[in-house]
Amino acid sequence: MEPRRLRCATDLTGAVSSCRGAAAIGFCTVLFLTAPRGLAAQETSSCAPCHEKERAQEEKSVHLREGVACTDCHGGDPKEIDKGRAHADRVKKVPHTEVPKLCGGCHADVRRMNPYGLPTDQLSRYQTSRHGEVLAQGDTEVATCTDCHRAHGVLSVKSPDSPVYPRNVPGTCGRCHGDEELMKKRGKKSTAPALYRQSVHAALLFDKGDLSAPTCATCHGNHGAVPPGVRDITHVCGKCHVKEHEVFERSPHFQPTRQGDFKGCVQCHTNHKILKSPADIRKKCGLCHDEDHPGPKRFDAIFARIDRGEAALRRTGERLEELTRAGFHTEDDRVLWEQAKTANRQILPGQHALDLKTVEDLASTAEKTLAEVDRSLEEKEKSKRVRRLALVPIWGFLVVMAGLFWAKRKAVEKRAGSAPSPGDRE
Amino acid sequence: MNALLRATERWMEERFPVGAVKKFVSDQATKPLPAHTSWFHTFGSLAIFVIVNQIVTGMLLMIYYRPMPDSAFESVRFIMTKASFGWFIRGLHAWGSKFMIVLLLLHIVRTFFMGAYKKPRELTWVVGVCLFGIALTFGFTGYLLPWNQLSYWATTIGTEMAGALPLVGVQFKRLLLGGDAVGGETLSRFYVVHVIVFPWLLVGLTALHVVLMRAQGLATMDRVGEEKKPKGGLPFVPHHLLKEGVVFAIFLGFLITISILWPPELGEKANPFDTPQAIKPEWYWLPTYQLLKYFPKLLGVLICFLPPVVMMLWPFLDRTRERRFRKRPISVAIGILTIMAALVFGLLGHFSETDIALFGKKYHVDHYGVPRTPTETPHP
Repeated sequence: MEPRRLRCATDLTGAVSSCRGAAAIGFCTVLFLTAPRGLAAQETSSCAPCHEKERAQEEKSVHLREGVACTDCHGGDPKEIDKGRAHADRVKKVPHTEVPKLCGGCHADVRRMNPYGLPTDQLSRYQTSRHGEVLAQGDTEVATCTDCHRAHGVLSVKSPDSPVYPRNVPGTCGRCHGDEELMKKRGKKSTAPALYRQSVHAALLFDKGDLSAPTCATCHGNHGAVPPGVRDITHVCGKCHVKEHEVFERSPHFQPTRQGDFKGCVQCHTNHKILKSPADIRKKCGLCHDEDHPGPKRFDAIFARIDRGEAALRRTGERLEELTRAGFHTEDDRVLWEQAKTANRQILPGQHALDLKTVEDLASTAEKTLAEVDRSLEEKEKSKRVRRLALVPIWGFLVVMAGLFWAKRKAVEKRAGSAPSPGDRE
Repeated sequence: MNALLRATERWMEERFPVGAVKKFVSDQATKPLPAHTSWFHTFGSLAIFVIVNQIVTGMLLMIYYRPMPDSAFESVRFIMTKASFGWFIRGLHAWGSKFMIVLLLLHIVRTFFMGAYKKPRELTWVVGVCLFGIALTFGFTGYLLPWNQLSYWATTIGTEMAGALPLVGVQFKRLLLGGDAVGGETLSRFYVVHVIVFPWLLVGLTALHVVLMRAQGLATMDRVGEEKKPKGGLPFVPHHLLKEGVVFAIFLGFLITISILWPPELGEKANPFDTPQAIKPEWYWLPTYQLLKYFPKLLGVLICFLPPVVMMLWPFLDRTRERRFRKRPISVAIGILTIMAALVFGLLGHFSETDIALFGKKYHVDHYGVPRTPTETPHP
């Protein structure tokens, strides 16, 4: 019995020791799996017990995710738990004026930014921006990196919560540029954000959710934000409105624009409250021209022509829809109608040359195609009318049949000598 | 000629009891109808006329229809635009399917309120309810065949509903779809069921329904067990048949007019990657569709199964002997409430997820059919 008990004890000891080993490996594994991913994260969490608010703000930050620690910006010793020793190494609140250089420390470093595919010219662009210039002149209230991107909790530009996400840009710029007091101190108007919200661009961005719609940064630039000069305006608008820009070079307004006497696109469309309506634009002609001037008259003639073309296109489109619903083969007509529509759409950018002949040429191309569609639709509508007319003899025949059945029934009842059934009265 | 006919008749008589069949048909045709037989009694035979219309136009459509996902839509478009009178044949078929449901509903309502389902006609009622169920499912299977956006997504919703059945839901859904989503396999299955299985079932059950109805005769308004055989009433042929002839002619004119003036639209080809907004099933599925929104999936499906089950068993649940409308208030009240509920849920389903204008004010009717004032989202 003894050796067996000894063996049992030995087995037990072995089991216990192997259990301990397993527990140790398990513990280490758990530690390994649950350990923060980098030293930086450890450092952040060592600041966290006291700086809870900042830690919460940093929760979703791209910096925290990529291991940028509090001390990378603020200094200090992250390994120290004691407040005095932790702050001994010049812990500071970064002065506003030093923010661009501090951010540029990493963001202008090609080697550091390369893996993220981020541009590294933001600092130099900022320094040439109006914001950067004013900062250099000693204005400590001017926007720096953190005013647009936040100091803590910096998000990717792709994040809808980011202040620089396209939909949020007008609001972000508007915080300062819509602040009457702040702008007044600098001799600026604070109406731009409110005007932008009434523009076609804002309607695209906010109402249609089109994130490619222009925001403040599209025209002014983001890091190198600067108001475009009069001569450059057509180029700024021409980045998106390529055709209009090209045609505008043939306009009588082009030379005055080059000379700086005419404000290019914004002269008619205004800068922030950009409207599409020709009626609103027409009012602007009077600012420079008399009503007797041939320019405004030409404008009227051009838009009358455009309206006529649009109305014809709409009418044919409605006929096409109706015939498609009625089961007619309209695919070939639709292709032609789309061609006419494309030709018609070219008139709007084309009219920027303010040349009636160009507009006439484009409109007549659309009209010819539309006439072809109309001829084809007419044939189909004729066939549709025949279908409807066929209802007359069909109903005639069926009413006669019903009448004959009725008369026969009455005759049968009469022959049978019976009174009409009570059901007839129901 | 007469000699030839007599010889043929004699030849047939030696091989088949033609005389007995002729006598049965003649007896049924001349059987006197009850005195209350009215124009309302023509709904059933009108429904049979529509079934014939569906079969004939369906066969014509099958000549050009191709039940494959890559050609189904194009073949229907071909029928609509190129085949001679294809648009008209499809119109008669599509509108016919809707009218079939309407006529069957009217026939059921007439039978219910006249108490014609009571003993000894319980079986005729049960077969009739089965026919109604088949007609509804017929519409569901036919809806997918044009392979357009509406049909594709309505079928997706319908099969999802079937998938919520307890115990067998997942298997049943797979059986319907032939896979995990609506696709080529689903189209083949629905096509086979629509053009082979259901037509035979419908014709067979209709024949049984008619035989049962003729054998027992039309119900009188007498109490159960006290029914007297109608004496001196007018016979089915020719009196009632002529009455039906009048209704047929007018109904046919109506069907043709609607098919010409409002041919069914084809819409856009099915696109599994583009879910249209607020897709809805055919009008006769709207009450079920809406009712399902108010309950969790399983409970909703069970609740939706309740009305057809109760309807089927109604002759066995309602044991009262009265047939007259005014003498069975509970039964009539239940009938009216059911119709009202179906109308209310149907209307809620129709208007849900749409924008409406009420007293000059715009509302958005939400998922549950509640009109809400649209809230403007301010620009940030």
